[in-house]
Amino acid sequence: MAQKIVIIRDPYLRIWTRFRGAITSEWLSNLALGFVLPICLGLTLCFSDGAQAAPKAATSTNATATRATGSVQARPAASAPAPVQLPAMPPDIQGILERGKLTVAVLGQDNAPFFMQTTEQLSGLDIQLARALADQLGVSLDITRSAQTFDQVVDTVYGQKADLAISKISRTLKRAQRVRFSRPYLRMRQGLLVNRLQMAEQTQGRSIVETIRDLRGQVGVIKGSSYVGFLKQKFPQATIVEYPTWEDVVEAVVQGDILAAYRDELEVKKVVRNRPDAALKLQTIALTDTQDSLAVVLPWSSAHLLAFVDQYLDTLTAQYTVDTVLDEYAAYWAAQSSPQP
Amino acid sequence: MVPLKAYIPRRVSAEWLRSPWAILISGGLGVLIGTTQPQVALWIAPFGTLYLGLLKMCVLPILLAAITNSLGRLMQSHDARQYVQRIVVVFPLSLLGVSAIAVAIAALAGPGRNLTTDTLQTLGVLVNQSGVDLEMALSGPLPEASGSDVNTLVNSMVPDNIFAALSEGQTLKVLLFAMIFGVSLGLVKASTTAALFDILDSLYQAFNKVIYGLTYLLPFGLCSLLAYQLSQVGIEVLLSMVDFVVVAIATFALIYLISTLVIWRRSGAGLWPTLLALKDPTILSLATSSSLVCLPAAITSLSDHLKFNSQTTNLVTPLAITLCRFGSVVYFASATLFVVQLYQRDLGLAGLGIVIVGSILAGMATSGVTGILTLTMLGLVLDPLKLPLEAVLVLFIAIDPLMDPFRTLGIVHTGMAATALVAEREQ
Repeated sequence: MAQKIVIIRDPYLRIWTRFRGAITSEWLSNLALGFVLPICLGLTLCFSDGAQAAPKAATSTNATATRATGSVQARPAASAPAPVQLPAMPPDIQGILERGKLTVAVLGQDNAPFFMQTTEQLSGLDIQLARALADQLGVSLDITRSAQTFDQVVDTVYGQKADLAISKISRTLKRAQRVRFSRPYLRMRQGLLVNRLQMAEQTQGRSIVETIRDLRGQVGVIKGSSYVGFLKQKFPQATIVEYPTWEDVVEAVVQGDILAAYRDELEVKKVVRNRPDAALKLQTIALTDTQDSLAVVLPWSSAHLLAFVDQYLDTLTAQYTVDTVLDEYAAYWAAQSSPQP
Repeated sequence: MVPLKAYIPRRVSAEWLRSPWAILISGGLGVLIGTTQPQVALWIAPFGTLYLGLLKMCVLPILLAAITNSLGRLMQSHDARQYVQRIVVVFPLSLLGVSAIAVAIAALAGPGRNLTTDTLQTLGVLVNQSGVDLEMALSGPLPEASGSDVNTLVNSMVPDNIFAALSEGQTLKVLLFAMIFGVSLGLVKASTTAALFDILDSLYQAFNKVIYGLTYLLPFGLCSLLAYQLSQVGIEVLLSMVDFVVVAIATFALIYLISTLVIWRRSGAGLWPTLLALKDPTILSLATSSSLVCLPAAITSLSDHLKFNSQTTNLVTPLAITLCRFGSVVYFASATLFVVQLYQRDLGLAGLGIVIVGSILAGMATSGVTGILTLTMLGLVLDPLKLPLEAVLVLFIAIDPLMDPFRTLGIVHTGMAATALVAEREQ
């Protein structure tokens, strides 16, 4: 603004000095005055208009800045940023770094191939992922296995007793109300484990796809699992039979007490791989237009850790599928099934 | 002047190639290579393919010429009715008999009953490996169902374009065309048809010469084909299903024996000449696993060596081999009982009846198809019994390289026996 004034005043002075020598006669001075005065007036008007407009613009641009920084200053003179100090690290990451360990919640009971106690240490897909995240953060891994149900694992994270949970947890909207989910690290579909003999009774000349779409008969699920709801939704004609554990459901299908068992495709395919002697009786079916995706669970406040986990999952070169996971842990199954009678 | 002939060595005798010894040795060599040297088996496989291709080349002309010719002449000689009556009696009865024998043996021997956990595990691993997982959507259009029912049989019988049927080698269609053509040719009461009959006759003779010439190559073809086929059998699966394999082969052996007895009694020749005459089609069917390829050899054996009426043989042998499919009927009956016992299902007498009739239908339905589709016809028997097909189909496919030759032998040899029951001896 100050510069502007100088530039404008300069020609005014020059004109004045040029004419000063020429003011010798009365009429000339009068003429000069007649010239100079309107110019002065015009310049003054112009100048006052510009001076009024400039502060107006300055206040309006500063208004947002004021609100953001919380300072009462309206002057644009504060061209340097407000002196509020941001933390050097996001608090969720910093907490982990300060403690020097990443606390991961995992379900108390083994669930191969995701997490299982082998001879010396915990292993499995989820443990592998947790270890990789800890390595990337440069901290040690601390696994807490106090939770006894999947929902308790989610609660552990919600109560901030763990930094995150990797424990074969399915993304559901109900859980997403309290915690954050990462990108899925394993996309699965829902699966049916069908007793072939019972199925042959049901088909009656129809194709197996037709029969499944109009599934009637007894279908087993784990008591209180999310598959009770899925079953009502996807197969309204079927009769629900609830069993306390998955092993009970599988046994009922193998014995032919029920027509089918309903769970995620990995658990379904696992049965056939683990019990090849029953494979002749069982048929696995993956429902392609359903999903059951596994994701990392984080407290809702850990926004940055979530971004970190997502980015890590993005950079994973090998995307896991149900079959690759089953193949990768095939040796484990073989070792598991041989000692059993 | 010394005739040119004198300079040529007096006939390089290749007759030793046709001796049973040559065939026995080459067969043994083939088994040896196939079981111990799978790599060598793969190397010599092209020769077997070549041999098989040359044989197949002759089949369609012979089929067309033989049936048209013999049916046409039969219509002209006015004793057609007698043969038709015999065929109508002999074919269904022999089918029923063969199917019942197979069911009885399998029910008594009980393959698939009380399998050990180890065996079930081996079979289960095989089923898992073949990836019979089903992926399906709960919504959207239904996928096209693959047809393996009686409709397929009907569709494969009527040729809307005989040249398409010939170029695609659809035997049933060619057969039906040849029969219709032969009957109508016989009904034409003009002297001009004689020329066509002569042409068909010379066509038939010419291709028979080719087939005869090819028998000199049989030892080589046999060795190569056997070796390749055996190298394809999964030994582990074979061991797990050994009780079924043994029962099925025993059934085939018994029916082979009965058929040989029938042919021997009907031919009136001595037992040894009969066996010698049956040697060629038997070896050929075991080596090639293709019943059609054995058709010319079967006709020659019956009409030339055993002196059955050649006109009848020309007509009835193709019908018996392509339509009756005794070997497939036997195999399906045994296989169905294996599945029934594997799944611990109690059938009862009515169920056994379904197996006997169903196996006949399924066996006859294989006449229109080739390859793996042959085995899927097993579904025609299992469906009415409410037994699942997919899992066991994998097992049957795995042992098929071993079972196919025996099935073919059953088709050809029992077909010849049925022909012998219909045909009269040449006076």
